[in-house]
Amino acid sequence: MSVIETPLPPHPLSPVIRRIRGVDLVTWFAVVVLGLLALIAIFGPMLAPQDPNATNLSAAFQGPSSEHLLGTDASGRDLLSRLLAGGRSALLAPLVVALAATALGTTVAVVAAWFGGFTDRALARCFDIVFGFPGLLLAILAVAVFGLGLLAPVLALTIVYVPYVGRIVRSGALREVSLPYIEAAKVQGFSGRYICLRHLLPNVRKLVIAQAVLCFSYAVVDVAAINFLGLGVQPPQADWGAMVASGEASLIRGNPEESLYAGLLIVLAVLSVSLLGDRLLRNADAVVL
Amino acid sequence: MYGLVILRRAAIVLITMLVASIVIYGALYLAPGGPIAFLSSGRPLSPSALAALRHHYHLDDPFLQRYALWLWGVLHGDLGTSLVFRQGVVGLLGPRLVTTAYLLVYSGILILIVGNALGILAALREGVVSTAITTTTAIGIAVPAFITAVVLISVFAVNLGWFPVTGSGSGFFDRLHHLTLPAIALALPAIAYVARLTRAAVAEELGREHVQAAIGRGIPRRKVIYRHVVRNAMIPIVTVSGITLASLVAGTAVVETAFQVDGLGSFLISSVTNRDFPVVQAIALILVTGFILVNVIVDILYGVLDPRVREAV
Repeated sequence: MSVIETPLPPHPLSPVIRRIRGVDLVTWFAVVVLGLLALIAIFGPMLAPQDPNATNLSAAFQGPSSEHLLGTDASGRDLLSRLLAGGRSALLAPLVVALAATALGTTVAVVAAWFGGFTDRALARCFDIVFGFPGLLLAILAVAVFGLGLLAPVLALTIVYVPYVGRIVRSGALREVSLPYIEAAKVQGFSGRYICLRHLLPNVRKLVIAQAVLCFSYAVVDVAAINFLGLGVQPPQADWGAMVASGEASLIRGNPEESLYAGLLIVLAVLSVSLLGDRLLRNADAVVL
Repeated sequence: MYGLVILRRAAIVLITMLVASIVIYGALYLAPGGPIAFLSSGRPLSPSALAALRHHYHLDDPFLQRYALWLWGVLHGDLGTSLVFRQGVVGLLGPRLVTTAYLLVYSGILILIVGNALGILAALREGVVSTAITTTTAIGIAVPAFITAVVLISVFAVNLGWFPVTGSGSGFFDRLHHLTLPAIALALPAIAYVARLTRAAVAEELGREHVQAAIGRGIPRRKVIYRHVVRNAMIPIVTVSGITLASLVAGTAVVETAFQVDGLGSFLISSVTNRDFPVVQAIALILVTGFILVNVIVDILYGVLDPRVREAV
């Protein structure tokens, strides 16, 4: 008896499945960790089992218990609740920095590559000059002028990160502009804006996304540092970077939990984002100039 | 030919420094409420102190003139007077500058020696050693200095008691003892970064034809590696190490605060919190200058080390 094998019709999602199967373990780790952290950032404050700011001095430095799953800090506040509540400022502020810097950097880069000549040289020089600034220092200066809080550092970091995106996207866009299809589109009479938006930008999208993700990882470190220094989020509001700092006093007295848990979450965030960014950049065949 | 490139490079540096100084000076005018309200920030100042402020910042002159006069003063070592300590900024910064310089040189040495050694080791010893080094350095890059600082304090200062928890120490050896943990915390991400790049550079050189040819001719492996592989790989390594050193400058603020080391970086942060703007300006100027200068020196070294770069331009 012969079995006639009817070939299965290709699953509508098969290109997606093939792509997912080709992804390596490290990327999986990065994506899963990042997903969990994103959930904490979005829903964390709602999931917190207790008020993250409720102090109870008689319950300071308690170990893990059914009431406090991760124990308490020096003021008797529930550590788990504070960690869940502290993800927003630690992750959303860097996200704003990365998105704004990517939007600005990409726009400037495409404009520079499209017009070429003097415009390109002038904008590239601007990138070089801004690139010469240490980001954290400008953020600290911004706080000195505009006062404590995250707004000033977020603005300052955005400006500093523009060349991080701009330089690489510009090199990619310059390569695209020299290709015949752009010339062909010009000959057909399409406007510069149309060609840039419909052809140029989609063809450098991999670079843009990779740089945006890498920017996000740098921003997580810098924003955490600002909060660690006490210049950003102010007490009693919970934040991972600020918790590393406020836990230092307890750590010296032998209770390292607060600093270590908060630090671990920051490291996980930076690690997963930067691994993802590296892989995306490799995938984009970036020519780093 | 190469002189021309250095000149052009110097012009860009000069512009960058000029922009930096305008930003650092002009920041005063961006402050909500104007410069005087910002500088005094609620402190009751005597009329003579106010007059001194107006004089130092030349507030009665037009902006560009004010800026030029201020810059002229800065270039002649006049960094103004601290609003909190009521004494010259230069005198306040002197000893702290020494501490920060110790810290930077200490971590710089750690980065160059440990980073390069790990990278070369990872490139030459395939297998377990290589995998261990690449994995730890991949994680090491992602650990911010202040988290390393906290872990080091917990393990080596609190639990083992090998090092003091805080402070800067006095005298050469006491200072080294106090600054060992801060230097490691500052250096660790950079060590990981340099190690990865060194590994890549050495691995690339290993695969080159002239190296294969040298091995094929029966030259001992040790000699081939030392003379042909490592020396050629040094060019990218030096560049990257230098750029990494420059990035440490801003990191001192974080590490010094974590270890309560009384250096420029921690003084910058406390001055920001105390709203002592003349001090903030002075330290920002010094740190930015240091950052830019290291970058330039590395750039020039790159051409000196690699004749091909000189010829290409």
